[in-house]
Amino acid sequence: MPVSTPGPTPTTTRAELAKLAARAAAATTGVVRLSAGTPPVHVTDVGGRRLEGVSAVAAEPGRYEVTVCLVALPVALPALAEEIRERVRESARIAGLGDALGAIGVRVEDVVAAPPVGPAP
Amino acid sequence: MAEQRTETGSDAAVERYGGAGRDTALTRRGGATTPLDTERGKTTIAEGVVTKVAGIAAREVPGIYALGGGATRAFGAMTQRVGIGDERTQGVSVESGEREAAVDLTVVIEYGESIPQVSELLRDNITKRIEGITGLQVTEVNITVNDLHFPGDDEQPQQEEPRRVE
Repeated sequence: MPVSTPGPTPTTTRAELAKLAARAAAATTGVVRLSAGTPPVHVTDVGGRRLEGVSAVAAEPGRYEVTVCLVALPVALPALAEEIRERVRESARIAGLGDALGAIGVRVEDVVAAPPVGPAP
Repeated sequence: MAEQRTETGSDAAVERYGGAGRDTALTRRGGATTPLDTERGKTTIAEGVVTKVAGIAAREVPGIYALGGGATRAFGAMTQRVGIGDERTQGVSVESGEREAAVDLTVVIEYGESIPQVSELLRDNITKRIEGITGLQVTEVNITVNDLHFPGDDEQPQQEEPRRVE
């Protein structure tokens, strides 16, 4: 089996895009959690760890389409999706992966009411 | 133009209100996109989401006693007991695409309410909620009033028996 060479490889770039997209989406107000989807296709293997709620697929060599799948609050979903895209693009730009990022898909799998407030400490 | 047909049968009166038949032509012009399909990516909303929003919006309308009716509600009660049903979507059927949604509802209305008035409020609220939350354009909301609810239909509370122990 060939040894991985140092420096970013297509697989590493894909995993990095998936990770930053998942982080950006999960941090967006209005997103309750990420979801693998039904069927559970929005899953990415990131360094041996299963990351649910995001998939990154090569659109052309070195460029990936990323899709995040999530459960949201009952907010205006198109605006939420645009905000997620803005955050993912900004995260990719900061990470130096802006050119590797293609279209960003957002799939809303479910909407739920605000989670109940936990018990007072 | 709204379409109204009233059917009277052996069951409770059924009124069907069709949607306004809005223009469903594609809105793309010279690269313009829809709220869900933009040049920066596509937003997909699961049909179950639209169904859930419609079900919740229906329950917000005063005068609506329940969704579903007759056999629908009996089946729904059974599926909820075994954990595979969701009362929020019972009596709601949605067909949605990338730009539009059409909703069919079966409802039970409180006796004494104006059926046309409640139906209109129902259409307006469902349209407002689906368009506001999902961005989909609601092309029609069809409503079937399957039953009326009388307060006396509910089980009478049992008379309190004297306690046998203190």
